[in-house]
Amino acid sequence: MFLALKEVGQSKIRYTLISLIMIAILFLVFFITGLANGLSFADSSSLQNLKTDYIVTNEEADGAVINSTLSEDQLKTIEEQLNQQSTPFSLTISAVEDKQGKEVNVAYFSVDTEKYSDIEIIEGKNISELTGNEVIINENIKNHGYELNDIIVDKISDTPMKIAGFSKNQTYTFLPVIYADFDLGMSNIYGDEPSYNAVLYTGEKVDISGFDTLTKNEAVKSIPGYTETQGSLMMMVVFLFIISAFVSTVFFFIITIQKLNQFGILKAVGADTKYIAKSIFIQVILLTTIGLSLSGLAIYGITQLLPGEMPFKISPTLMLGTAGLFLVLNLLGSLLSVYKVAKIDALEAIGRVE
Amino acid sequence: MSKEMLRLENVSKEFGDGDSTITILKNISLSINTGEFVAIVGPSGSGKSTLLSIVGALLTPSNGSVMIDGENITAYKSRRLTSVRSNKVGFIFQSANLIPYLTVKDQLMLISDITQNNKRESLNKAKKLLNDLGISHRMKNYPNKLSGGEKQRVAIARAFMNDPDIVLADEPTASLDSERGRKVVEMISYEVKSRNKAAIMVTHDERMLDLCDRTLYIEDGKMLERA
Ligand SMILES: Nc1ncnc2c1ncn2[C@@H]1O[C@H](COP(=O)(O)OP(=O)(O)O)[C@@H](O)[C@H]1O
Ligand SMILES: [Mg+2]
Repeated sequence: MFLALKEVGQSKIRYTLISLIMIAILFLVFFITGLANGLSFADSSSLQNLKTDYIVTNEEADGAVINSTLSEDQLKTIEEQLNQQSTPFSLTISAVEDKQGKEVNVAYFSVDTEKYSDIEIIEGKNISELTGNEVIINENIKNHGYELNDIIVDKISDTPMKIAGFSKNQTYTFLPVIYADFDLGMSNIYGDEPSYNAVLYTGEKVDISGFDTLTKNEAVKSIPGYTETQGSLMMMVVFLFIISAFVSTVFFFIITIQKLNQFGILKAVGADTKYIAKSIFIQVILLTTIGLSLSGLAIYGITQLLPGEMPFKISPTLMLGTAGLFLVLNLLGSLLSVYKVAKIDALEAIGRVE
Repeated sequence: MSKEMLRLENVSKEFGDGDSTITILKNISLSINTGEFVAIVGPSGSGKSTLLSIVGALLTPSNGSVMIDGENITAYKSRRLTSVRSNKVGFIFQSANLIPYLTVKDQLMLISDITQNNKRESLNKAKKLLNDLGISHRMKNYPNKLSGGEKQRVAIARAFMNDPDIVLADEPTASLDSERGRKVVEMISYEVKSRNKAAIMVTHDERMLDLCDRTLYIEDGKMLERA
């Protein structure tokens, strides 16, 4: 503690500079992590929040619910093989008009409102309470001026619908999800026959031959473009982690090399490697913590400034996890310096004319 | 009241030099009591620093034994040697070798931090030492503000901070002019006597020898004593 703090206090410029670099990198790490998280959420929250354990699709869809179609016959085949209660599910992309006459794309989730469980509602009615042409829309449609009990009209089928409730965390590929009963006909706006995408059920997994059975996570990963987007962002985060760990490691390594003579003296006057290593670790922890707190603060500031539609989402857990991993990487990097210190010979300090 | 503090018996030291080994110290025996200030002189390369390193637990001898205050440290491994250095030995190096980012006071407090001694007591001890050596007004200064003589005095104070059994100084005056050098040696001598320590000083400067109780001559790794 003694050595570590005194030194940082005396080399303020040096340590301020490295702190600034760390803050900048960490800010980017947090930002991209938040972006990846937010994008993933906007892309898939509706699927993640489906009230089901398993999703049965046809085999051709390769797990992408949007690409799966099931006929009435296939529906029967599936339902016959399931012991537990199941509900058909239909996903249709369409558009509604907002108050200014501008088109807003939406995703219809058609379900059997008598069988499907209630979802998280922030205002109005829940699924089981829907009657007639009532629907539940994700809250972000409010940005377009809609309020509870407003009537919205589907652009393709001209079906008028009444907003009976607002839900939360129900977006599909960035579109607000509208939960509706099959009776409203949203599943067959593109044809005469009702079209189904999947069958949902909870409980034990049942393998049905000729069909794919997915968990919600698998369905999310199969959303077209999802894995690619997340993969690229993840790669950026990983690289930032590597860069920052590298910068911090090199910084402490160079400082250590510059101080080999001093460490020799320390060893000669009785300090062991542990004492010096502790001092290096304390400095790493101190700088990393400062970097983490300040960049965390900056991220908090940014989230206050970002527009509401921006898909940015970072939770304290995600931040703490990221911060913890970052600290561990930096400490691992400083082992290189400690290794160097361990090899210093105390003899360097005595009797050698420089 | 003086007792034997350091005893070397038939100490020799060899260094591997490629395929061959060279013998730097040959059969050196000596004994130093508390309160005794011993000088070692000899030509450059004769093995003085090597001898001091062995006494100071920085090196282990190839043969023979080293006893500090009755404790045989000959076979100690690196960890125990470190602890001997921090508890029993005080070093004064040729160049003061102070830590650049510590104030004079903290140079001394560092030692108590390493040995985990009581802070308050250590601070009092540090103040007293700096006072003895006439540099208490420099307490809050960093090494780059001190003159060569002042630095060396801080180094002396540091060497006494851990209450060592033996004090070892390797050419402590080499970087000072003879007047300041003599002053520094006088101070070492004063501290050794008043605190009843055993001390060895390697020096090139024959004019300092009158300040020491005994002088040992070393040549080609062999030792001769003159009164
Ligand atoms: N680690 C070592 N390996 C090989 N030779 C060494 C080593 N340390 C010192 N020597 C040699 O031992 C001799 C004595 O060195 P030293 O004790 O420093 O002499 P002095 O201090 O009397 O000038 C020198 O010739 C030096 O080159
Ligand atoms: Mg020497």
